[in-house]
Amino acid sequence: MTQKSPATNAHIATALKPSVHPMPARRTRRPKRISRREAQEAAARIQTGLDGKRIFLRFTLGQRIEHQLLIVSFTILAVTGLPQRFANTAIGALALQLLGGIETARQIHHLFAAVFIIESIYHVGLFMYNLVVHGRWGAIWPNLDDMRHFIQMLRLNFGLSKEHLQFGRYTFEEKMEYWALVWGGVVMIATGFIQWFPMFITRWLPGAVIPIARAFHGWEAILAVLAILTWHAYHAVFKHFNKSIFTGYMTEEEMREEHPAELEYLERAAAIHNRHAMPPSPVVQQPSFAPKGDRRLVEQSPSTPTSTSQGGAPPISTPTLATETLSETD
Amino acid sequence: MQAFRNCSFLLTIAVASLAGLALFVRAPAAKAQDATPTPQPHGNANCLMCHADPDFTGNLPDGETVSLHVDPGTYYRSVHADAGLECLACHANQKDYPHRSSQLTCLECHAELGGDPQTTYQPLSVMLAYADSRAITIEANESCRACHAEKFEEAVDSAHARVLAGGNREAPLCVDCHGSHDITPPDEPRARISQTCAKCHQAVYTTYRTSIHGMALETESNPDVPTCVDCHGVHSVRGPRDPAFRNDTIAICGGCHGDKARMDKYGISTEVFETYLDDFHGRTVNFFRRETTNIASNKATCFDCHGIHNIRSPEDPLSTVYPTNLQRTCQQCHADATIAFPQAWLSHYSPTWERTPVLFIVNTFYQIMIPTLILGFVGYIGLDARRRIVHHHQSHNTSIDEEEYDDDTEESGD
Repeated sequence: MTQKSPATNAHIATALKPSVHPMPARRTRRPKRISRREAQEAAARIQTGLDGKRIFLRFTLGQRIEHQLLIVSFTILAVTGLPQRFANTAIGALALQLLGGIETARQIHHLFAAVFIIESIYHVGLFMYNLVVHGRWGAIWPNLDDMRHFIQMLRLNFGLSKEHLQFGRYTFEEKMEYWALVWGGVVMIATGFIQWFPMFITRWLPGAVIPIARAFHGWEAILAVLAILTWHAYHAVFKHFNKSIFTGYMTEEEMREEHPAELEYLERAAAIHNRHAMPPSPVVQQPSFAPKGDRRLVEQSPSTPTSTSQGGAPPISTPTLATETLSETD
Repeated sequence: MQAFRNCSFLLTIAVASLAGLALFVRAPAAKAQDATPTPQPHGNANCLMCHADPDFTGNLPDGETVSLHVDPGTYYRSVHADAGLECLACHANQKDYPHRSSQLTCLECHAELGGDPQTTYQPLSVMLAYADSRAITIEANESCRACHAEKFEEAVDSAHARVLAGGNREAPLCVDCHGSHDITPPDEPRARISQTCAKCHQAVYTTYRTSIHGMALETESNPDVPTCVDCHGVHSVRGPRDPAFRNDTIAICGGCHGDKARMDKYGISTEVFETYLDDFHGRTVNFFRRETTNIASNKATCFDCHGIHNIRSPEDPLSTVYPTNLQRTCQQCHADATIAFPQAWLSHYSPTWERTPVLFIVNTFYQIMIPTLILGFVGYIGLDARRRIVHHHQSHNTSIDEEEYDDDTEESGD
């Protein structure tokens, strides 16, 4: 209702470039602005499971496939790579023997390195596409909330607090995991490429980069595997087996436990969507609700500047995705 | 009287012919009969009666003439004489006399037994019952097995034996390297070993003499440098193209170059071996070496860069690993190696701050970061798990009767 004038300009700026989760960190207190598109997407993510309970789409099919590709390529890369690093130890030699020899292990390693690289390129490409075409930054960027959550988590774990953490879409633990993978992936791809094509590389770079790449590759591999075996294994498997990366969905209990802020956001956004959605119509090709006015609805501030752009035909499908009248969307 | 004379004449003939017959049948027995201070029945002295003659020769069917002379002095200086071995210890099948259908008979020398009294000394020359001289050597060589069975069996599997089996009768036998009557320790002096091999492998030897190892051996009889047999093996000598030999190279070179006590004498770092093993090439070759499969690794082993018999100090401009020669050496395998490519190799040095600072920083960074980070992770996880276990415990124990825990046990209440 009351506008804080300096902030409003910023909001206008971001309003012109809509995004699901804008990049700049925001203070938690302020209710998040929810665009119509965001509201629609949030509503679409709330679905009904086989048992009739609500389930929440957490990972799209594409994201799940990406993760399965990662599981396969990472595991095989580790299994064929680490024995090469420790080839002079008895256990390393044994592992290589089981893999069919060091040359075979190398070939398998190269093959799945290609899988990993292609997956990485796809991932970055998809991000660029979402950023450039849709203006979406994604929710994985670290922000100040993560730091607050980290401190809260320490207080909780040291018994100084009993407050349940209000994690959003991604916990800071998940974000750490993700960015560690990004860092590791960049290092491994770059240094692996140098070792794969040393002749090519030394046409432009000094030969000294090759041993440096070797060192990076070997150490980073150990770090990555240990991180997966500790951090990721604990948070994704042992703490509570998070099946959503395979099924795509989380139950309401899981959401409440692990991503309460996200749950709250989804419910709020779905409510906005439902409020503005037309009642379900039997005529499928009926044009959707026309967002003639503003493209962006703010729950508590109706004074958001109206956008004059494209009053024509927004590419929005029939809004029959309300919680109660759920239909199959995927 | 006449009858008696006739009788005695007949008797003489009979005795003489009996004696002659006896000699044909059993010569040593005949010798034992008439020699008063009886020598050993098959002692060296008997053999040397003929074989000490420097002009004693044997003729072979192919027209070749071989000396059958044995210099007693040479023989008595040999290790076998020291051990008390006699001729027949090796030449057991020459026990009978005359030996193996040679045409020589006693009467040719011993006129008093009925031969021609006018016989003057002539160089002994006999026809030998062997196809050629090599056949004599090959037969005599078998007798080594009796005492040196172990070494003999090793040699049976050697590359030399394979050459022999392949039909080349010039392939070396025991006696070709060790000698026969003149056997003395083969490594006194040490340079003798390589000179022995040089009898056949002359070209290799010429190269070897100019190498750092060969020069040290020849000039100072250095006890640490390898002679031929230190790398190639002695009796079980393998072919250098044997896959296992290639893979084993690193162990052969590493045997000395990884030996700190030996290398310290010459100021050579033993890191050469460790750094190689830790490198791409070394790990691969070492894996192939561990594997007993008979496949040679195609990754560079020591001699691919350093050379084989022509190995030189890396400071020697003729060395294949001298800086200006490196690119060409790399190009043996990496045909399109650029001038920058050899820099990829750290010249067997472990990364240090002075020499390779970037590498040193990377290693140090990870050596610190990995334990720190992982310990941090484990600590965090431990705390988190502890809280969850305690919490879980509490909620199960208390949620039934104590309502004030409600807000804590929200999820378990469902």
